[in-house]
Amino acid sequence: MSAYRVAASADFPLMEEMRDRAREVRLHTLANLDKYLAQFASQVEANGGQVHWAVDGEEANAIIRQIADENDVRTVVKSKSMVTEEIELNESLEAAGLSIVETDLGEFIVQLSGDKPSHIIAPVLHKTRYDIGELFADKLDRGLSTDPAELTQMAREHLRREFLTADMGISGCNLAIADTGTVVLVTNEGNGRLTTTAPRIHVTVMGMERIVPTFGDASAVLEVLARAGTGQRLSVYTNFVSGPRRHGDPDGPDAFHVVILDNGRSRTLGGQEAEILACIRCGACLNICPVYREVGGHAYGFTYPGPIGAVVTPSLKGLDEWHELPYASTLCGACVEACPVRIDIPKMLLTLRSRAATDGHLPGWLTFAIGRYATAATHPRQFRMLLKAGGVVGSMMAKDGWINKAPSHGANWTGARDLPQPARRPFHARWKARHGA
Amino acid sequence: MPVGRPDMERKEFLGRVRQAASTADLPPISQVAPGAFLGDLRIDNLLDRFVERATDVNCAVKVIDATDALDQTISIMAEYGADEYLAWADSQMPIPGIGAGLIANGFLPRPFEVPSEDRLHHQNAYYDLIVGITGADGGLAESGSIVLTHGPNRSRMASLIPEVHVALLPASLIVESLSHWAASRPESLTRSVNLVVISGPSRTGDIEMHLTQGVHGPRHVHVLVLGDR
Repeated sequence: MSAYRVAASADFPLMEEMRDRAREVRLHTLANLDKYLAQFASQVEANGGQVHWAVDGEEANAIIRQIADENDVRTVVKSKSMVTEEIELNESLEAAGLSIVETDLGEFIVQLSGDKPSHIIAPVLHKTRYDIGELFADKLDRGLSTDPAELTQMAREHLRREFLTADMGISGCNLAIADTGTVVLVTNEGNGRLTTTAPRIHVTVMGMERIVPTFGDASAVLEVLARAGTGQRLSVYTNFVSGPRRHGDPDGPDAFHVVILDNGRSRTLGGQEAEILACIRCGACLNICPVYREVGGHAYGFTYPGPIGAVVTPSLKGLDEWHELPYASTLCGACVEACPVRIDIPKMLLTLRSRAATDGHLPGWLTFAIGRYATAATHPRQFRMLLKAGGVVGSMMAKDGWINKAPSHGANWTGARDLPQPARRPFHARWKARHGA
Repeated sequence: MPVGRPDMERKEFLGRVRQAASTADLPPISQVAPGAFLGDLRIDNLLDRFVERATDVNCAVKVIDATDALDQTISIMAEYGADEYLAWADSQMPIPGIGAGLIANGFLPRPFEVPSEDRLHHQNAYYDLIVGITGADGGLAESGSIVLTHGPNRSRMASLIPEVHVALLPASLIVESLSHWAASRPESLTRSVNLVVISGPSRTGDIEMHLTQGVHGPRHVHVLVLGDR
């Protein structure tokens, strides 16, 4: 992925200026978010669409269930949307007896196998063509294939019927343009267009921070979005939807609904991590992050993985449950370099870590141990004595140069990996013996 | 229709956002006037750059004389063995007579109107369409994209459902980039409720990042650029 990205940016002479511009657009919008949201909502209504306000996921799901209920909806097609994963919309609609089909190829595979996506823009990065071949043979009742083109064709044939007959299409939105009441959907496969064209009802679920002021501002963000995410100059389909079909339009949905979701975002906006709401969900910080590349998307435990998730999740959902996530980073700063809108993720990881500590989320033994260390580190005699003791004790526990079973809380470490045996005599003692004090 | 009382909900929702925005800890930015950012993209020749970049994203691009457009369209139909097509109305095409000419040559147009009351019946008939034919309202040289605005007599499905999409683009409508389009045609999002920017055939890399064309949309995109070469 990263090789593509470099190639697409190299021949774009305005890349750095466009990144600055996109960043300014996003930050300016956040600082005036209430104004632009109000403008957007009024414009959607003027275009014949309906706007719904949802404080949390439960409300959003209830609104969508009600729209479905009032319109006798039985089948729903969905184009890929992180925000509907966030509110667990599928589970809610399925519980109400509706049939939901994910139509992004990756999300479709995830849904068929009862799995969760592991990457923002490549949800089945963790599955091989062999896994997928067996899955299709089993669930779609097709012959076994391991050829990506053939597997894609099987999904095309299967999903096409779903698109053409579904009652309702649900999409997320990459951006929403305030002064025209337009939602912008970016896809490569075309499922975003089908979802918003074929069914008689189109529902867009948007996080309230997706807004930009004008078409021109949206362009600046779109020009950096695909380059950062997949290395394309633009994604294959950039679809601008401003309402239901108008009188005389030959096709398109009869009704258009926008569900605007808060779900913790206003709390984030009012706090120290407000800048994270400038994120345009390109996935660049995931691809570059050494921690993400080791542990993969599922390890982050929520919809948004990688560096962005390590900030977004605790910020939206609170530190009580998620105070450990900001530690899933080496603070190397690669994410800031990669981020098309230059979000300072490490800075926010530090503010979150600091709040986690002051709010008392660290375990007692760790607070105690760090306190002891701070005292020792500022008292050289004490420090040298501790090192000496550690060398002796550590050497006693070691076998063949490695400690593989440490006592007490040390077992958390040695449960997963061995600890090298410390030097029997600390460095300072050997240095002193060799060169004198 | 919304749950509860929509006006109150809007007011309370926006009140919370206003309160939050007033205390937001955001980095300072230089003052921005809303609108497109236009810089020098160093494009000497818009047509040449468009052809290069559209080819890059796997479009089949041909620059032709407008008088050859019908023959070229017919030869693409023949290439894929299609005898039917879904198209924009002749009145919406950049040059007259394409639809009439196809019919005169024995090709059969599919109805493009999908009436609300009989939606499924009409849409299901699109299941195995091979060729869709549309005009284009713009070309973007930098990204090799075509811009289609939809409205009366302009089927959205024509560029979406068939295996093959043929687009007729007047060379004079090519601009530098999406930002340039937005700056020069700001009314295009209010004049119609659907605008789409298409950059090549439908594609996915979802299976082991192996690039495959034609997932849900067209597998092949032919752009006939109408110039005077």
